[in-house]
Amino acid sequence: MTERGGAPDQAREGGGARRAAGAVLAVAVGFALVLGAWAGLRLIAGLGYEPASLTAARSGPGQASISLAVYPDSYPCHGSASGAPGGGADPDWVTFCPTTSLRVPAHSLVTVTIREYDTATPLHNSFFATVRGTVNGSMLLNGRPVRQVSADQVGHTFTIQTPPNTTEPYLFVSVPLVGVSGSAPNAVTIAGHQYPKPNVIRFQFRTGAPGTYIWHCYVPCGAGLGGSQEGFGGPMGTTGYMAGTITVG
Amino acid sequence: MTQRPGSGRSDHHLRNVLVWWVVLSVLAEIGWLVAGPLLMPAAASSDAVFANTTIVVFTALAIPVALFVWVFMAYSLIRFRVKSRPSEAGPHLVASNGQQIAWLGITGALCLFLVIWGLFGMYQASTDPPGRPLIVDVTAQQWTWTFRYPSAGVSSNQLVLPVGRPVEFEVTSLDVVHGFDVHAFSVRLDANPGSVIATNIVTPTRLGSFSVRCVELCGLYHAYMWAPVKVVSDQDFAAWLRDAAQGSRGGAGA
Repeated sequence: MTERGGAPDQAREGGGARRAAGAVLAVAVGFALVLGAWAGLRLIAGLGYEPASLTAARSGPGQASISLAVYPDSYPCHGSASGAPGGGADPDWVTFCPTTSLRVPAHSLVTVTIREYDTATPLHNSFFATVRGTVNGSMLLNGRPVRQVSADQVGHTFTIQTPPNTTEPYLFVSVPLVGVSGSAPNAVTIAGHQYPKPNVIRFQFRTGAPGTYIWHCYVPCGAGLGGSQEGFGGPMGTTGYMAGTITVG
Repeated sequence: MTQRPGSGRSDHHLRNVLVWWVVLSVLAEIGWLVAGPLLMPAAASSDAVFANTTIVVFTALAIPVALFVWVFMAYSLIRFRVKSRPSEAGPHLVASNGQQIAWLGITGALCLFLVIWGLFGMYQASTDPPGRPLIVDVTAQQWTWTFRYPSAGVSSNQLVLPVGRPVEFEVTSLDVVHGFDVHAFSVRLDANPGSVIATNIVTPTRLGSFSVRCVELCGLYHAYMWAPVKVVSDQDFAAWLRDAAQGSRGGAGA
């Protein structure tokens, strides 16, 4: 090694200081990125709008019931509490109310009642016109038992699926929610808006061990609402509207 | 590589590296050949078994090649490290013709083997077994899979198949592009809206439970887009078809 005096030493010291400063800056930038991502996720509450849970009411030993409604817009549960026009960020989006986060007890017979206020949209997949996974493989439509409906009469579906890689019991329940007639007169006022008399669908299914499941509507009812995707955009791809979770236990 | 002809220190270092390389390669090969097959996913078709075997064999061939580079690099970094910047250039390295021919020949032979292996595998996968396969229509949509058995008029959210019987999947999508993947059968292809694509004919070779996954990002609940696959005996499959057909024929409409 040849020593030539102070200049090379000063150059080496300056280069070392720059490298150290660069390393510190890189760490700081990386930390800031991670912090920003964390803050952003907290701000949007994960995947999006995550409503508060609705817990099924106990109706007897090993039995519970829960009631939902599906509307052609978001005013009933995304607007202001007083019922004044609001509807949240997307008032014209179809939605399940009062919430899409549901909680039901484990090892129980759960009775679900859904009031369907919306009209029908033809199904892309006739598979969902059949009742599946319920007790007796049927549902009550306005008090009448049915197992299958016409694919062009379905307004929405309530379809429960099991997430992959889970230890909870496999569960698949799918119920077609018959839509009201497009010419039906308005008969009820909810949250300051008028809706026709709903179709009432009631069905039962059994829960097993505790776990978390997801549910969707599989009717392409998001057409023209915030994106295309053949009717599966907009509310169909946003939690809090046409998709949610069911927590068993 | 030749450093300075006749340099005893160079031969000493080269010998050290080669010893390290051989020892580590032997240990790594033994470890991989024992543990590798255990790490492979479930294989329920001959194509999947061949895919798993390919991974094990190709990795076994790659281990000594990779270690050859890493051992030389690690030895050099450790053995020839200096605290200060060197003041002169390193020795002029010249490879002999024999070394270059050996290097190119060995790597070329390895690559040729891999190509032949792959061609053999592709030929096997494209050869249809005798007899008519069971046709299953697979429909993808955001965010679920549905399966229809046209010969029986049955639809299901689960894929149930008889063991030992060839099956062909005809795959489509109702909305966006999805990826139909049954890893246990080594079957994967895109589900495209507006078109129906048939997979190669595969034959489930073992009983058990597997899964269909979507492997093409398709929206909010892409991670939840899966369906169970059950490979059952012929008798159980016939019974399931009967039950499913009865279930789909019930009830009055709205």
